[in-house]
Amino acid sequence: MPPVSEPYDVVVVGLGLAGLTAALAAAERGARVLALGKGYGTTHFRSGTIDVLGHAGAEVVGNPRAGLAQLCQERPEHPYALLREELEPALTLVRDATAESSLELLGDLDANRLLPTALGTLRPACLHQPTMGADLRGASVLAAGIEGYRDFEPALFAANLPAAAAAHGIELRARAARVEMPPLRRHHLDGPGLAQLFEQAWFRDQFLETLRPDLGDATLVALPAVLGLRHAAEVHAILERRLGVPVIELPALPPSVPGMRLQRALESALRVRGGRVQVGARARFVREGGRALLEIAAAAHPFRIPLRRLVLATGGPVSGGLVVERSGRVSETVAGVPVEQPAGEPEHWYGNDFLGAGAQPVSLAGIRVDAAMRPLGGGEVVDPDLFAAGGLLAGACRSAELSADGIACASGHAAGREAAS
Amino acid sequence: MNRPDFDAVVIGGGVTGTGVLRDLAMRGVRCLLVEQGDLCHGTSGRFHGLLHSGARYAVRDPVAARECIAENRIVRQIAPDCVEDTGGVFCLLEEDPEEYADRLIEACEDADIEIDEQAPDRAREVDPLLSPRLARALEVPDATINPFELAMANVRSAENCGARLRRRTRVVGVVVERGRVAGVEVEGPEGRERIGTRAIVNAAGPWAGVVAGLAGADVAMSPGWGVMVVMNERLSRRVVNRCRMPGDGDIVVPVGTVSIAGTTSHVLPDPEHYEIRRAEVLAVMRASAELIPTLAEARPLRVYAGARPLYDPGHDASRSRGMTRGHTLLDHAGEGVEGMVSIVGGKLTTYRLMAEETADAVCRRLGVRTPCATAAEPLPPPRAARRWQLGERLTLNEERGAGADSDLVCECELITRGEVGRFLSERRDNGLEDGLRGLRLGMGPCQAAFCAPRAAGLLAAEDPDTPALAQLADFLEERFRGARPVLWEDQARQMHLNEIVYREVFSLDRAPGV
Amino acid sequence: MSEMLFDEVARSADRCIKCNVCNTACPVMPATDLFPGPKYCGPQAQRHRPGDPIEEWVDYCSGCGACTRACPSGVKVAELNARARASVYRRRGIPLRNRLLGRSELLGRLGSVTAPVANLGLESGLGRRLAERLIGIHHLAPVPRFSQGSFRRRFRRLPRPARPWTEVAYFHGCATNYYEPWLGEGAVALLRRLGVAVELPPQHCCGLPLISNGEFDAARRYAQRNIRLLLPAVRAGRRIVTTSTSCGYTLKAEYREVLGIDTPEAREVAAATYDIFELLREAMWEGRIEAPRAALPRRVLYHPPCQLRSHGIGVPAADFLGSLEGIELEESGVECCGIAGTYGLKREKYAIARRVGEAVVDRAGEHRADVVACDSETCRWQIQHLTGLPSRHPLELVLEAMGEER
Repeated sequence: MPPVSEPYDVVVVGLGLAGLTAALAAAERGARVLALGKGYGTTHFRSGTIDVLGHAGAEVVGNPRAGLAQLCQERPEHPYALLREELEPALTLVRDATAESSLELLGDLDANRLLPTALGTLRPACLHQPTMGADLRGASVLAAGIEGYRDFEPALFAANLPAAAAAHGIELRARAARVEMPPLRRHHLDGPGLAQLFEQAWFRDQFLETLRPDLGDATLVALPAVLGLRHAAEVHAILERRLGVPVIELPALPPSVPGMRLQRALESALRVRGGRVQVGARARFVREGGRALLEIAAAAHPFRIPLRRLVLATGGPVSGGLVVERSGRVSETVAGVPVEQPAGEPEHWYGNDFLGAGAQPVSLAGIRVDAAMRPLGGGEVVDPDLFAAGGLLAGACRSAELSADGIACASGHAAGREAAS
Repeated sequence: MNRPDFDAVVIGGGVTGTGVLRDLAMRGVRCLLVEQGDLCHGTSGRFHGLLHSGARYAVRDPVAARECIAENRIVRQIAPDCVEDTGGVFCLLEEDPEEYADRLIEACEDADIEIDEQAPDRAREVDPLLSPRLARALEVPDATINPFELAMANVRSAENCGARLRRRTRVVGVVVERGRVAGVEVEGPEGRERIGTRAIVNAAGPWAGVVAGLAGADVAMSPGWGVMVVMNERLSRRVVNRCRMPGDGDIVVPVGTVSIAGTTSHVLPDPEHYEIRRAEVLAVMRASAELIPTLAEARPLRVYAGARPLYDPGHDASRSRGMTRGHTLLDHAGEGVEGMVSIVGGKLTTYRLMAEETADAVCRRLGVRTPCATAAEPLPPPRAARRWQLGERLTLNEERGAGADSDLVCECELITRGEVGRFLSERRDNGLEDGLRGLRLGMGPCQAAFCAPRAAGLLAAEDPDTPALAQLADFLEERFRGARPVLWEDQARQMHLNEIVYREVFSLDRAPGV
Repeated sequence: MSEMLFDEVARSADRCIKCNVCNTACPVMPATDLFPGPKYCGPQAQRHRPGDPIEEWVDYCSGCGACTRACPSGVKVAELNARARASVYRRRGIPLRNRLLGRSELLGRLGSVTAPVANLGLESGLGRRLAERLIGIHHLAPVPRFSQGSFRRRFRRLPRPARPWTEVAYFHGCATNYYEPWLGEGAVALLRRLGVAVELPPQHCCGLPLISNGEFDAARRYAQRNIRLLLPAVRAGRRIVTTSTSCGYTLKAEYREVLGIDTPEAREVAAATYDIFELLREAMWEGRIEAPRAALPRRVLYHPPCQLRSHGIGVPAADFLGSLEGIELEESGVECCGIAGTYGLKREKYAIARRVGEAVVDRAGEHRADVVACDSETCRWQIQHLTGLPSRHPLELVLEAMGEER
């Protein structure tokens, strides 16, 4: 057999936060990296913040570091229990990487910040984009919607924000305005489309001119999170300067423009470090005569990449890294790694309520890993060249805890480092 | 004696009740309909959408079959906007006993139901997803019907003749004076009150026994529950029936953008609640997949169970499917409640006939001689849009021009801001879920994740004091409960996406008042 | 509905979870008011299509496939759109312009016979304005020059390697045959240097221009003929090698996924089809050949064409170019240059294609590129038109580094 050369030291499957963090961590160590995914991950649905730990039971977590300590003590099977030391360097890596694309991430592990959303609710976040946070105390908030953009209704926001803030002891006022932009009448409007428009001076000028008469006594202007993609920081600064008051962006329905910014900034940082990215690749891990291969379902015949190390960062049931099968099993899709099944009968994997207290029982399912992020089956390492990170990992109630991003960064960081070592 | 408020009170806002209301009103009877929830809250809102040709009953129950085909023709005439003329096909598979097909042809011919045999290849050209094991295909004039539009059209027609409607009003007592009906006690949003009437029509479907009991009368109802599975896409052009004696999972009905696979049959006394088990859903899908094999892998969106309002004086709980689908009109005069009738059993296809017979009885009691006119007089057209045919909405949206899609509140079902606004302005007190019933908002793949907050936004924009977030959460909960038994694969992914949006992006679970 | 195919492509719409990721990837949606986006035209409209709706918006999809690749649910959005576009045309008839653009082989044959005259017409402003008025091809749109004498005629004179390790059949496509015969000669030369013998099977236009212009029936005839003509080479154990990533993708995927031709023969041909760099990269990874030791001291922006991305094979040309010494290579990271085959030639779409292509112009500027490498002919013409920089097939650059003159 001719000598085979592996073109990459580390291949990462998954282009979400965990995958890109893993790819970056490996690239930082000089590894030749390929990151690929069957499509984009949940960054495009989430808020573009880094949520480490937002809720503990019914409580809102004020200090994630302290919250984590308690969580790890109470639930040693939680993925964070393996990753506490990993968080700080992981967040630093992510923060430095996004900063290269002028995307700053503010905040630290010692405090969560309450950020308003498009519905007028408040949510805690650990790191956030500078466009998202402002001091809400005593504010007179003007929420401005854009006629034709259906994913932000300022009246709904204004009707709900005061009560949401009051629940956290914050007093404020809010009112709604609607900006009618005649050039948009024929547009098929969505967030990314508006974001591109906000990057153009003529659009901003007209927007500001139309909004200004409504400003009144407002001390804060709240807009849907559509203020630019590549140049958001610049757009935001211009709006604040020209309006003379702070401006915040409110996360809304997918697609998430702030989430796209985060994803694109990380992808760009990876390319700068020589990493390669492939979108639209469905992959399967195979071992053939001792040789590890990643088989991509390419057009007509599979594209096979000889592997050294593989990081699975394919996500949980929403991303398709895990599949909740109709037969009543949860399985892992790329490498067939054993999955810790949800407790109880499939009948009860989902609770009676959508937004009830606690997590859906199914969300605790996933794969178990050792300290080096290698998947375990029956307590044994499944394959020495395989690593896992992110939504795949068992034991977390991400949606209820608001912990998805922190787990993704920390486990991605650990898996990328271990795979590159 | 003072003149009572109404000549007749109809209890139950299903298709039958609204049909009775219309019939009475058109004969000049001053009448009121009271409904505990919203129109089509019960059986009418939870059936499979089939306007029977009668072929399903032809072999076993020729009388019901004849009624069906006669009413099928009338309903197409009077309510063209509520009907999609899909046609239906009976499919005999290779493993099925062939003689049933011949019996069916004969029985249909006897019952005056058009039935045409079609070569299996041709049948699969029209419906390419039909099983390759198709041995014989028989075409019949089945169609589908939108019960919400039908009920609303009946109400509008009745209101045009002076009738009244009260939703969210539950009848809690029947006032009987000297053996005659004198009024009803109701409890509604404005509290408890007494409404005087000379006659009462109990059209409460599965609740008919409960309502009759208020007057001390006895109506032995045996709700027969059936599970229906809503598939994400339309898998056939026509209504697909299995060509054999009716059984579980033997029909797939194309309704708008979706196909509904059904059904099962269990008798349970509780008309309110039925717990749908995963195994039952999988069994329906497996059985339906014999007709349309792709159904075994296709994506279900949600499931629901409907209670057939079966009248069963014999109380034989084991024979739900075998019980008659014919209707029965009970006059409670013999039980000391003169002026009260109950209309029970039957099926949606024959609602008009049931209404006619009921109204005849009431009119006799009231001394009204005007004959029934509902078979000839068309119903008023719907307010929402042009007639509901698949594909129409896409065409309509394009005709409205560039950017019109930005006006869509529900992208899956192509429902516009204008339509939602009109619905809510009439029924905003009912909350999002009920207020939008019949609009198909939130009935597509995402199960309201994207349209519900937009609709909530419209509510808040009109009136900031509406508890819009609470209504949004209720709507999402209701959709979740419907999807819960089918949360696997893609629909599980959908629900996890929805969970990310509402818990992680919006923290809606922590919002005050939710 | 009877005209619709019920195969894996049609069924893929079932998987949409409405997440909007396809819209975030679409380059056309933000460039025009006339396209409501892949989500609307793809899985969303699909649920309503059994009712045979009227829909024209879908004609503004350029078919670049960015949506399909970005979709985390595996929905074949672009393929659904291509089919919907064909049924739009079936209903309203196919304009003369589309019929012409769809027939690149016929045009090429006519043009190369009459090259001096035809080129004069293409270069004269008057001629182009006339073409815009009469048939709707934008007068500024980038069109190539016909070559005098086709590649197939020149091929006979090309030498073979002494001891080849494999023999392949070359599918050159219309552009190489009639406009850029030197590219075909270069491909043969590069393959020879790397020990690959090349035969030239009889062949026709792959049919992609017909697919993009809505003529599925004609495209199917081309497809069937090509499958018949290429099958003997495949059965003799030869792989089909392409230098046009769009022809290659058509043979590999579109016959089945768009035209619905799902015969064993079609699968055989598809499975044997390789992009030239896909073949060479595999040989390199398997240790059969060595990366050329050569230097290319140039600043190269590599733009992987949208059609190549749909192959799902990564960027084999960049893997190869990256091994050259002295090269300053960056990937564009841009989904599409805008031209999307014949899309950007059309009067009503030229401006949209230009706006889409601006991202490539920006990237070329950021990288201070002196050449833009790209594996698809129409993209190269568009990039050259928009950036003013030379745009070359990667194999031309490899040959340049290896000292082979064109």
